[in-house]
Amino acid sequence: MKYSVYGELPFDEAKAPTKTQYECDVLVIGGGYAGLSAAVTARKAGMSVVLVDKGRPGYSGQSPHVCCTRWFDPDKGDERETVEKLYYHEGEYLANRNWFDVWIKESKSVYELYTELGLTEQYPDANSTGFAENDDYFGYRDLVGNRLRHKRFMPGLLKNGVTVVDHTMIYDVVEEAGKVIGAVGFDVASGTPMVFHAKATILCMGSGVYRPAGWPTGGASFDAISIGYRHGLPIIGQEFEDYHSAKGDSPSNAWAKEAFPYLQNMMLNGGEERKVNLDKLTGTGSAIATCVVEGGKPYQSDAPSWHPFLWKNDHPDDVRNNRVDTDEPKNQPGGAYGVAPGMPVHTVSGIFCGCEDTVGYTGIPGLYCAGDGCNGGPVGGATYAGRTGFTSNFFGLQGKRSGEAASEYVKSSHVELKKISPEKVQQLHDEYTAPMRLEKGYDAVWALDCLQAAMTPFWTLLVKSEDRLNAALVNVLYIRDHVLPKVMAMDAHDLKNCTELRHKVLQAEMKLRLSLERKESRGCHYREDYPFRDDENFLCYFVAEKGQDGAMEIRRVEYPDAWKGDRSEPYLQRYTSYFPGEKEAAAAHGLL
Amino acid sequence: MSVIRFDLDACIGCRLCIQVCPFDVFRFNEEHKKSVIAYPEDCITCGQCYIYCPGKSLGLSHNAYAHTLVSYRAPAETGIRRDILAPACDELSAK
Repeated sequence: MKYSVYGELPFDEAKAPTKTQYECDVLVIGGGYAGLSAAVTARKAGMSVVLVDKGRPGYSGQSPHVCCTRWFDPDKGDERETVEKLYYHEGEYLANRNWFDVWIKESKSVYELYTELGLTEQYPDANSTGFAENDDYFGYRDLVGNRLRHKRFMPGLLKNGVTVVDHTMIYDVVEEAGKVIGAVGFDVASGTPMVFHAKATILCMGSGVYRPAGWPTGGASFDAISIGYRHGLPIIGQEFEDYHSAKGDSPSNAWAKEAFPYLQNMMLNGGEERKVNLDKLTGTGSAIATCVVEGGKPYQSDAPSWHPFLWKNDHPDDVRNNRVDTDEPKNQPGGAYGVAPGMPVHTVSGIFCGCEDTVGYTGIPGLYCAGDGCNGGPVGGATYAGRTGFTSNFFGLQGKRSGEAASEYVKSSHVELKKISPEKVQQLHDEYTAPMRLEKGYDAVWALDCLQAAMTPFWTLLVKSEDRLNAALVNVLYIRDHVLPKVMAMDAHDLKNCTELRHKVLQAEMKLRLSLERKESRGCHYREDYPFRDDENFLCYFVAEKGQDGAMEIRRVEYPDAWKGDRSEPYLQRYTSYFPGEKEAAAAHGLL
Repeated sequence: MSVIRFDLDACIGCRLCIQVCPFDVFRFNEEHKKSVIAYPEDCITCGQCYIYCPGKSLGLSHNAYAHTLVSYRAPAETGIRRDILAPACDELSAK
C-alpha cells in the first residue's frame, strides 16, 4: 500500500497488464496526428497495425489541443505561387521544398482522412453560444459532446482495426542484423516490460519540452530523437526555439489558456494567402522577434506580431473561415512567455532523413519517422512557416507517407517477422530499471528542475550568446555526467520520469551545441552576439549525431541552392522582421 | 499547477481520470472505489480529468503542488523515502 499526499486515499502498486507481447506488420509509436494517420494508412494498405501510446490517444501530448488544420485547395482559390512565396520567406530560406511540394499536392487528402474520422466536423463555438462569456466549460462540453476531436481519436483507430496499447512508454527500438525488428517498452504504471515484434516501426512520439509551465506539452519528451540518436541517426533543428506563451494572470495553468481551444471545433485554415491579401499578411512566423523579454516586458520588434487568429478570410463561401480565438493572450501586458521551454518551434526539428526524402525513411531498414519533433524535414525551415494548421495536417501527411512507405517495405521486401529475443528484452529492462536499484541518489523531478533552471531563463534559451550558452552547457554536462547516473526511482511510476529526464538532458546538449555552432540569427534562433542573418556563411543545416567515440558531434549539411531564394534581393526585403540589434549589425557588415 | 480534489464524495469510481490522464497522476483505491491523486507533481493541468469527471470531483490549481512537492523531494545523498511528510507519522514512514 502506498500513501499519497494531501489527504488522498492510499493505493496499491499497479498490476502488470495481462498482455505484454504483441506482433504486427507495422508498429506505430505515438498516437497523435502523425501516429493516427500512419496507423490508419498502414491498415488501409492491408497491414496488421499496433499503435502504442505513452498516455491515451486523443488525450496525449499536444494532439488534444491542436486547434486547427490547414490544407492547400486550388478549388477554393489557393494560389500556389503566393503560398510558396510567403512560405519560403517565412521559413527564412531553410525550408525543405521537397516536403512542401508534397504538402501542396497531398494535404487535401489528409483533410479528407480527418473528415472520414470525424475530426473536422464543425459545431458552434464557445463565443457564439455564450459559454465563453461565462467561462462555462462544463456547459459547453455538454453541448458539443462526442463531436470533440479527441473523442474521435480512439474510435477512429479502433474502427479501422488498429490494435491500441495505451499508457506504455517505448524505451528503445531493437536492431538486429542492421534492421529494426520492433521495440521494447514498459507499462507506465507497473514498469512491466512490453515487447512489440514488428516488421516495420514508425516513430511518431512528438516533440519535447524540459518542463512545461502552462502549455500542455508535458508528454512530449524528445523520445524519438533520443532513440534515433542512440542508433546513430542525425538530429536537426534543435536550435530553433518555440518558447510559447501563456495567459498572464495564470501562467502555470495550461487549462486556463487551453480550455476553449481544446473544446471548440477544429478551425479549418486556409484561403488567406492570395495575391490580393499579401499586403495584409504578416511577414514572418518568427516568435522570437516579438517576445524578447527585457525587464519583464515584451520587447516589440519592427514587424507586426505574429497573430494568426486575427486573419480574416475574404471569401464568405469558403468553409475555411478563421475566427477570433477566445483565449489567445493577444500580447496582453504580463502575458507570460517561456511556457514550453526547450520545445523546438513546430515543423523544424527531428531525425534528419536527408533533403531528398519525403516518406520519413531514416536509412535504417524497418525504421521510419513522422510528425513534429520526430521527422526533421525541416519543412518549416527556421520557423513555424506553415502557420497554424500544419501541426495537424502536415504531420498527418508525414504519418500517411510513412505509413505507405512502411507498408510498401513490408510487402515488397517480403519482410518476415523476427522475434526480439528474451535476452534483448532483459538487457533493455535492466537498463530502464537501473534507477530502481540505487540505494541512494537524486529524485528525478528534482533533477528535472535543475535542468529547467539551467535551460529555461530567456538569456539562455531565447536571447543567446556564446558565454551564456557555454555556461549552460557546463551545467548540463554536469547533470549528464554526475547527476543522471544517480537519479533513482522509488517505484515504477518514476521510471518514466527517469527515462524522460535522460532524453531531455540529451536534447539540451544538442540545443546548446547547435546554438553555439549557428553563429547568426535566423527565425526562432537569436544570437545577441550575432544578431543578423548571415546568408554568406550559414545558409546550411547543422545536425547533432553520435561520433565514433560516443561523444556528440555537430556536422554541417548543405542543402540545394534552389531553396535559398533570391540572394540578390536587398536584405531588408529578403527579411522583413528584425531582431534587436540586427539592423546595426547588418549595416556594420555591409549587408544593407 | 495541478489537479486537486474538490469533493471526494462526488467521485463515482468510473476511472475515467485514470484512463485519460497522460501522466499516471491517478491511481485507484479498490477498497473505497475512489480515484487517488497519487502523483500531483507530474500534473500539467491539461484539464482533461477535470472536464470529464462525471461527478465533478476534481479541481485545478494554478500553483499547487509542483513546487511544494519538489522541495519536499529535494536531493539527499542519503536517499529519500516517498512517504507522507507530516507530524506524528512514524508508523507510516516505517512502511
